[in-house]
Amino acid sequence: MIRLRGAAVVLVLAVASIAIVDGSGQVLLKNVFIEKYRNLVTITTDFKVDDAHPHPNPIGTSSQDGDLHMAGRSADVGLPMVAELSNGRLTAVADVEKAIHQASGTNTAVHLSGVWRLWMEHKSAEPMQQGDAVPVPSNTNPKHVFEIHPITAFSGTAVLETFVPLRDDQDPSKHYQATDAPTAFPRYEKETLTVSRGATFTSIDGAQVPYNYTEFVLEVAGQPVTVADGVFVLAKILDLQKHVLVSSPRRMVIVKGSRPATLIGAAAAGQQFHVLGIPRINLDALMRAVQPNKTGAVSGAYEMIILAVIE
Amino acid sequence: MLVLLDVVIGVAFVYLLLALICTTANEWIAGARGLRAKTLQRGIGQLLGPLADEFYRHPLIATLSQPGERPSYIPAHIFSSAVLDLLGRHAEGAASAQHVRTGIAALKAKQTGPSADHAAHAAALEDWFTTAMDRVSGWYKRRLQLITIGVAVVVTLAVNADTLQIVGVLWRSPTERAAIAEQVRSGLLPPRPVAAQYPDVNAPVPPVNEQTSAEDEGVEGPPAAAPAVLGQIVGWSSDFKRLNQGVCATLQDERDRQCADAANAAPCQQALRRIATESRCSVEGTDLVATDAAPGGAFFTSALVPVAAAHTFGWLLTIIAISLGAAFWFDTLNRFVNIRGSGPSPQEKKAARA
Repeated sequence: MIRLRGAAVVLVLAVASIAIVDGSGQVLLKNVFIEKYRNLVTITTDFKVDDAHPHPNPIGTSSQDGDLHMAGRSADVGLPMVAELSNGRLTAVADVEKAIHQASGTNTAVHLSGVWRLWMEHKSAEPMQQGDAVPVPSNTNPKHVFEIHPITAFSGTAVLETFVPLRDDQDPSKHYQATDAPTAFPRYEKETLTVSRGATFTSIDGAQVPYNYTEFVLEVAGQPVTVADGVFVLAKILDLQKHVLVSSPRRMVIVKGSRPATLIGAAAAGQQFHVLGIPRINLDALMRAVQPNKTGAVSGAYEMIILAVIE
Repeated sequence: MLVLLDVVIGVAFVYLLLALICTTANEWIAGARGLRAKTLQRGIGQLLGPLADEFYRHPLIATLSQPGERPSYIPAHIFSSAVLDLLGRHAEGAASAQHVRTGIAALKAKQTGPSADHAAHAAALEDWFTTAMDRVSGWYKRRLQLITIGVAVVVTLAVNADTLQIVGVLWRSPTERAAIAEQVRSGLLPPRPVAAQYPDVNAPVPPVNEQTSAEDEGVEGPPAAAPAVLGQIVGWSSDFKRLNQGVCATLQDERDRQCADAANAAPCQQALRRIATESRCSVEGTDLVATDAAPGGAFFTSALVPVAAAHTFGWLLTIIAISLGAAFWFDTLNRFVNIRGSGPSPQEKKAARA
């Protein structure tokens, strides 16, 4: 008993002292990468599709979201990653799915554009450093925190028609049930990220977060700002009954040329939209909150990628 | 006030790390030498007298450890069951069991009055065992304390952890003080979360002239890591450098004399060769500067005594401090970091505003 207690004390102290000089499970992003993408909606890169699901997920609840998953590698990203074609059960994207399957496993890079998404959903216990050698993924969902999700163009073919409510063209009776806002947003808000900004790399770490697709009402708080590949706008978060869930404005990320961009891109403050979205880490908010060469913890540093306006 | 607090935090942090090494070494030494089992065996020997060997062979006890080893812990109820079983095997009045019977009888008489009841026997035995184990635990702690002091001496001398020197460096150097205090704070206490905010609802993206560039940020490195800072406040570097200064001054003097007139002459070339192969000095411009390379045998023949004399008091303080154990310094450090993290008092704030 005494030995166990002694060992436990040693272990706790050893872990504490190691934690002083090291971290674990975090992602280390190059500062250059962060600066390039913190205020961009999308990323365009050459991507090798190593493995792809044979079919998109069915439409139902939770992970039955109609996404077509693929795992692959991109030299620009330099991290274990996946890419997801959203709304993969639309007839309109059948040709793109075919192209994805043709590219899968060929070790040939294809031109891929989509919304970059950093999120602690499938984090590894080991640190992931951008630029390290990325092993060839053995399945479509390797440990990763970086995604291109949703894809906006694959091998030159745009798929902006996917930015509509999720549906299955083969079976229109099926409807997707996203996580309800009162469940998802408190968890997003609670997520605290520890950020350490070094000379070349910035490390980001946080707890694994569930809840991907979330249905909510956004109330535009300020003027939408157009950037090269989309629109950013700050908005309050409400549930479907219009109760305010998050009053501190959060940033909404909208892809250029998509239906949400048409509707929200020109909206005035106070306008409300019933939307479907997925969260990503807000790199801009993190960089604003933690100064260079400092370490800090930031809560509420997420932004919502708007996938569809439910009209 | 904050400077003093940061110095204290820095010193406590060094003590914690050194005590951690000591604790780990202690555990290892105690495990390798079977210290617990041996101390327990000594205590059982005192309790059971001639029955002790038979007690250890009893299946209830033998199964508590690996074959060929003695257990390092025996639960009180297992002890009483095994002893009662042994007593049953030895006839009343047998000399080998008399020691134990006397002990039980005395305890029973003290607690409940004479009784032949099995439960009362067991309770008396357990009580006897527990009391004895308190004493055994004391023996063990005292032996461990001796090992701790031995390990603390070795660790302190190995890393030259002189408390006075550590305090001096931290007191004089705001850089090292801040770096170590920052490391301690970020390591022991998670940073307080700040909420992500956009102060201007019409500016979800900062204007281009306010955006920082990665190149700008890369000018300064990240805060020094704890081991790098520790290297500045403990270790033999500064002593070695000081000792090497004499060697370098001699070499420089020789070079200057031999090479003043004829740089190609053999004595000058010889002096230059000696300098080139001397790791204790490096050439900076026309000067020879002492490095922190180990001075070798010269250290033990001429410098050890004065160096030891200069450090003795500081080493003693360190040895005493790290003998208090890692858990003690962990708690202490947390307390100081909490005080430091609570910020200035309302009075101090008022004074600053005035």
